[in-house]
Parts: sequence; C-alpha cells; structure tokens
Amino acid sequence: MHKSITKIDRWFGLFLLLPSIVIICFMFLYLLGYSGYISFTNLTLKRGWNAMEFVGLQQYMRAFTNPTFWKITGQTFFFISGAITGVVLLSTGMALLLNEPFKGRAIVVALFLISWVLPRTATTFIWSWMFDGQFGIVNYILMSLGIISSPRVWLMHANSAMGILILTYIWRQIPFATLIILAGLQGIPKQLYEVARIDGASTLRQFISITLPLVKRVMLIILVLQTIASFKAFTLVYTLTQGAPRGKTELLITYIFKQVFEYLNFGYGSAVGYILITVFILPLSIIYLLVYIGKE
Amino acid sequence: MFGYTSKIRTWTIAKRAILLVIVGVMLIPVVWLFMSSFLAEKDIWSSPPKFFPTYLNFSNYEQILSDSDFAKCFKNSLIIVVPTTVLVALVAVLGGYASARSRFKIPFLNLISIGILGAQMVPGPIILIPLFILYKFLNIIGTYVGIVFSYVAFLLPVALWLMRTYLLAFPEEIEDAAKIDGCSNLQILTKVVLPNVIPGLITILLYTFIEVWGEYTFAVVLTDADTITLPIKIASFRSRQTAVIGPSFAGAVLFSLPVIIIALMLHRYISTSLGGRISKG
Repeated sequence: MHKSITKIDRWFGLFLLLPSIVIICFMFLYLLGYSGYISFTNLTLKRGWNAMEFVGLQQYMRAFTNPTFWKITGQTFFFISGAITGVVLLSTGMALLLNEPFKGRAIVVALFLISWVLPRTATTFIWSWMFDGQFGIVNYILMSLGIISSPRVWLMHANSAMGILILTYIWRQIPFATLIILAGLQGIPKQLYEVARIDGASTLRQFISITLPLVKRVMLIILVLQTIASFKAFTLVYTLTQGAPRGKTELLITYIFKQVFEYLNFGYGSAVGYILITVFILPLSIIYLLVYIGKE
Repeated sequence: MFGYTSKIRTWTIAKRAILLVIVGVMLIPVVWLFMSSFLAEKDIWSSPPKFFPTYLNFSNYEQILSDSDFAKCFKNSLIIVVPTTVLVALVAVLGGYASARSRFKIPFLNLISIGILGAQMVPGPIILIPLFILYKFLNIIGTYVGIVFSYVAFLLPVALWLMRTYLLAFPEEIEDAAKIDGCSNLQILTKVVLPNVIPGLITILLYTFIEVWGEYTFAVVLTDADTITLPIKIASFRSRQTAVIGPSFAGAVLFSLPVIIIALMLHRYISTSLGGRISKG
C-alpha cells in the first residue's frame, strides 16, 4: 500500500516538472547547442543556406585576429568596471541607509524602485533627450551654471557617450542590487550590534567587525551577478548610443547582435557569442554556483 | 549622556537626508519626462528649455492616443503580455512545487537545479540566433504564438527559481497532514498549496509582466510590422529621430505608467521576494 502511494507521488511530481524541463532543455540545451554548431560554419544569410559549409575553428580565428574584436573587448571591460564600481558602491550605501525601520520607509522604497522597473527603451528615450545636443536639459543646466559655454552633443563624443551609458546603466541597476544587499543585511542578528554598542564599539567599528564579515557572501554574489548582468546589457546600449560614435561605445553583446542581425554573419556572430559565454560568463556562473550552494 | 544621544540624533537626521536626496536625484529623469509630456510643442523646442510647465496641456496625449500606429503597438503588447504572464506563472508554480518537495523524489534534482540557475545566465541575443533560424524555418516570425513562446521559455528559469525558493521556505508538514487525511495529490495542490503561494505567485506575475512589457531584443527580431510591440515604438522616438516630439513624450509616459503603478502599489511583492531570492538560497 505504502509503496504504491510513493510511486504515484513520483509520477505526479515528474508530471508537474515535465513542462519546465522540456522548455528549459529546448531553449538552453538544444538551441545553445545549435548555435554552437553554427559557430563552426560559414553561414551568412547573404549567400543563403546552400552555401553553408563546415569551417572548423575558422570563425574563432577570425575573431581573435580581428583588431575590432579586441577593441570592443577592451571597451566592454571599461564599461563593466565603471558600471560595477558604481552599482556596488552606491547600492551598498543605499542598503545601509534603508536597513532600519523609519516612518515613510515603504514610500521611499517604492519610489526608489521606479528606475529599475521602468522599461529599458523608456529609459533610453528619457536619457537621450536629457542629453540632447541642442534642447537637452543637461546642456541648459550646465550652461546656466557656467560650467560649459556652448551646448555639447554629448552622445556624439566617445568619452561622454561611454560615460552616459555607464551612468544610465548604474541608474537602472541600483535598486535591484540594493534589494539583494538589503536582504543580506536583514539576516544579521540585531543582538550583535547591541552587544558591540555596550562594549563601546563605534559605528564604524561595528560596520567593519560585524556588518562586513557577515555580508561578505552577499557582496560576492552581487559582484558576480552584476558582472554577468553587465556583459548582457544589450537593450540600453543598443537603443541609447547604438555603438556611436564610430563604434566607440560598441560592446561585445551589441557587436554579436549587429554581426548576426544587421550584417547577417550568423557563423561569425555565433562564434563571438560562444567566446563571450565560455570565456566570461561560464567561469563567473561557476563561481556564482559555488558561492550560492556553498552555504546551503 | 546627553551629548551621546544628540550625536546619534544628528547622525540619524543626516542619514535620512542623504537617503532622500539620493532618491530625489534618481527620480529627476522620470519627473522630467512627466513634466515634458504636458508641454506644448513650441515649449519643448524652446531654448532655454522649459522645465516646469506653467499650464496643463493635454494635446500631446490626444495626439498619441489618436495615433493608430501607437494604438496597434499597445494592443500587440497587451496581446503578448497577458498569455505570457499566465503561462509562465502556471508552468513555474507546478514545476517549482514539484522541485521543492522531497516526497516527489525527482531524479537528478541537483542537476536540474543547476540547469535552472545556469539558464538564467545565458544572454538573450545569443539564444536569439538559433531561435531566429528555427522560426524562419517554421515560418512563424511575426506571429503572436512565436513571440509568446520565446518569452515563456526565456523567463521561465527565473520564475521557476522564485517559486522553488518560495515553496522551500513553506512547511511541508501541512501537506503531509492533508495526505494522511486522505487528500489526493491534485486536491493538495489546489486546496492546500495554491492558496498559500499567492504572494509568491503575485511576485512571478509582476516580474513577468515588467520584463515582457519592456522587452526589446526578442521583439525587434521576432515581430513584424503587424505584431510590433510598444518598446520598439518607443525606441524609435529617441532623440533626433522624429520631427514632432511632444506626443512621443506622452507616449513614453503611457508606456511607463503600468510598471510605475506596480512599483508604487505592489512594491512589497517585488522587494521582499526578489531581494531574498538570491542571497538566502
């Protein structure tokens, strides 16, 4: 009797999980495997399917010997280091400020979430107009403060365009990163601080000796997750600068998309995509998994 | 003693002030969007630009609402977002439940868990390459079914993980008790589990809605002129690409309004569940 019940349980459980497994296997095993196969071919839709040939590692060699690929990899690292520094510092600060109950906290959190829930293309719409070369509010404010004497076309200069991109990205990511750090902070027992206070430890001392060691794991997770996320930052970049001026704000992820869907180089684009996944995202994901499972 | 408490109070006031200033600064772009949407066309183009409208002018809204192209995109976005959200929630609740209960004895559960987490790391544009080829082959580019399926598949891993962690934190004993009382598995699912996972379910629904409502990458490749969605329309409004810009500000406001309302009214579901998901495990 008992045995048959567990058997029914097992079938029922499998039945519930089956749709999820099928969908995930299709999307992330079959499709990812298929794009791996394409990366070993010379498929370009300009020449069509019939001209498709197996070319081995040729597309990968093409990427590694292409100066543009290395230039864009460098730009990607610049973008990521700027984005991560900003996001981690600011969201840690915000999490510390939000980590205690006070009147109106719920409203502050709700308003704070807006920059994160806002659709990405609405964000780029706003920022592109604020930094508009002629009518932008930023030009107006900087001119009335006397910082600049004539309007600048911010998104058309390499340095300022990259700066705006990083700024927009940070603006969007802060709330989410803050929520995760906040959840880590709220897991610290309050008694630890009380004991430290009775012993006469200063706020700074409490932060260094209690807060930091206990949120180390959360900080590591946020660092890894944010690095992965900034490798994947496509929509903001593609709709805000589109790589302009002259490819100076092109990142690996937008480069891949353009190679495939604008120049129709499916083979080459897939190869660069696989480089992005295996060289950068896979090692980071393994670190994330180890940290995540490590303390369960 | 008095000096100590007043020092703490000054510090507390300073902390609140810094917090309010940061949140205030972060809201400037959104406030600016709302303000500008009420400006008459000539005032948007004026130099120096007007920041605070001294009047309320709804003509931008009238124009964008009578724009048939905008209406079409809005309709398409709704047609796509509703079934996607429902399907993601349905599959994720069932799968999350099965993977969170030891009595189901799912084989290779560790491997499945790693797969669900790993799938969240794959960049959309890279999955899009083979997906585009497949859709081209099946001739379903520009169909609602095609885009909805791609969204369900791409958003499922996160939703599934949210549901799994939510159910892991929820005691299994109640279900065991129901079992002893003679409830079937299906009855336990509908009468015991479902009523208790409603907060987690709301989180998934909101998460999926927010993601799909603003999704651009898949939409720009997998939709056509008839099924084009709102994010693409709004992206075409960016600086220097349209002649009349007033209505596009109103359009961006209407596009952003649903998610802003969600953030303001239902932020509890977003902040607690999403925040706890990754750090606690």
